[in-house]
Amino acid sequence: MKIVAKPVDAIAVFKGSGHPRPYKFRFRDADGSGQEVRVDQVISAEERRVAGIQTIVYDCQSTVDGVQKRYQLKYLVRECRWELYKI
Amino acid sequence: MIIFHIDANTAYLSWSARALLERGATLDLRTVPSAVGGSQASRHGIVLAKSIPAKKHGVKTGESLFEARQKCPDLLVISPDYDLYMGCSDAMYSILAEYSPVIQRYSIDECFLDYTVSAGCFGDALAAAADIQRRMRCELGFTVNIGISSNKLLAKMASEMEKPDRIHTLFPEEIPEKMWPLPVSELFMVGRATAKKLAAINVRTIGELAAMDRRQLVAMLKSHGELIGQYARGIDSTPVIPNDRILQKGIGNSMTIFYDVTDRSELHAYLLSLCERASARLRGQRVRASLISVSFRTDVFASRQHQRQLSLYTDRTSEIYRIARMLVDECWMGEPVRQLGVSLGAFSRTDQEQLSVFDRTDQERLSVFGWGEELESRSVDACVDDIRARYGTDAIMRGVFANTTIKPMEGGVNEGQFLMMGGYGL
Repeated sequence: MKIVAKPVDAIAVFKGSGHPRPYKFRFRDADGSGQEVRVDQVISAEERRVAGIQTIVYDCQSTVDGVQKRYQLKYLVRECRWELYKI
Repeated sequence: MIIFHIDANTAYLSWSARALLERGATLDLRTVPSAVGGSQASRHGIVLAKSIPAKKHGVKTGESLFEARQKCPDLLVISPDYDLYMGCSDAMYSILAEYSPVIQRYSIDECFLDYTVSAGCFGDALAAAADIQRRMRCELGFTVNIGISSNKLLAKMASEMEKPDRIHTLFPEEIPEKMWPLPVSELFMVGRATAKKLAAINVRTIGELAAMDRRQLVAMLKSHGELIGQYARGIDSTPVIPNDRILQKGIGNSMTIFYDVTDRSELHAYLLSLCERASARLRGQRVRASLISVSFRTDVFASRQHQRQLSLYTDRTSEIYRIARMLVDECWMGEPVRQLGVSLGAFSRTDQEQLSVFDRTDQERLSVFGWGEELESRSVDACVDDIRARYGTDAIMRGVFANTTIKPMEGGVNEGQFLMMGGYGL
């Protein structure tokens, strides 16, 4: 997988306990067209603080255009922001 | 006693490099000649940190970017990100805090850790240091050097040895082999000036300094000679003091102005904004100062300094500014000023006051100095501090700063909320 670190719009589910769980997200391609992806499965979530930046990295799986894809989403805790981290 | 000194390798640079990688950069700045530097446009163009490949080209911390580019034309320069650095430093501290309750945050990228108290929990010092080092690398993504010894000085000397990502020990029995062959300028507290004086009497290595007669050193360098003589023999008895228990001896702020100031009222305005910062920090420490000093550097890099010892202690912005302005007026001949600084010292705690037989009452003091608003101004300062703490430094400001480029508080980095690199002496 390669790091893309692209900011995305996201909808997440916050439960009473545990990490927030990404539900779906939307990112824009270089040509400006948006694509919405539903997060089918969160395989793992890991808290990290590389370079002192507190983040939660999610290993996810979705079916995009009929193809099953693995990717990582990242939640930047201090900035309250989601990124498509690796694809 | 077992003391660790933990030092982040090329701190600013490796932290920035790691954050950039995390944002998808393909190039690791640590592997190419690169530096963190200020903007040349605002005349902050010096090298704050450099990568190890840049060091091989002879780039030095503190020199101008212009000089650095002459030595290394393909030098990559990035701007500092102080919020990131503070985050890295906090993360580093939080890992260390798991290993010992006694930690001194010596500067943004260095900590002393007293391992004596926790050896019972974590066992062998070398194994614990290796564990700390591994966690820094895996969890935080940057490398550290760890020096282990029986006192702070030797631990610091040990961590400075070979970089990066290494653990060194320097126990007293290892001094002759590991520390004495080093050039004397490598010794902590031996700077350029001292090294030059020592070179004049043919003292070039730490070992030669250690072998010197104590009386000769003291005669030559006064108390500093005594200190470095002891350091050369590896003697240092200062304990690791957690930062909140360190008594600060001086507070100072300075700034490089983005143009050369020649106008007196402008210079006064810059001075006032520095006094605002320094005196607010003074009040934050709950101390008052009786020594006020100003310094400036002209367009041709000539420095001048002037100070005054007061007979009273003060923490009021207006009073400190009034004296600082007097000092500037006494020693400034109208030459263009590039850099300006104010520092305060000789403290007494706010909750203590030494009265003397000749001490004037507050009322008399007012009439003598003509500051009718003395008592009011003390509560004004407190009020301004509160407003700024809650709503930010720009929330309230003096009229002189309105519609100017001068900030209401100058000096310091990131609103003054920043711990600098370098440390302050053991």
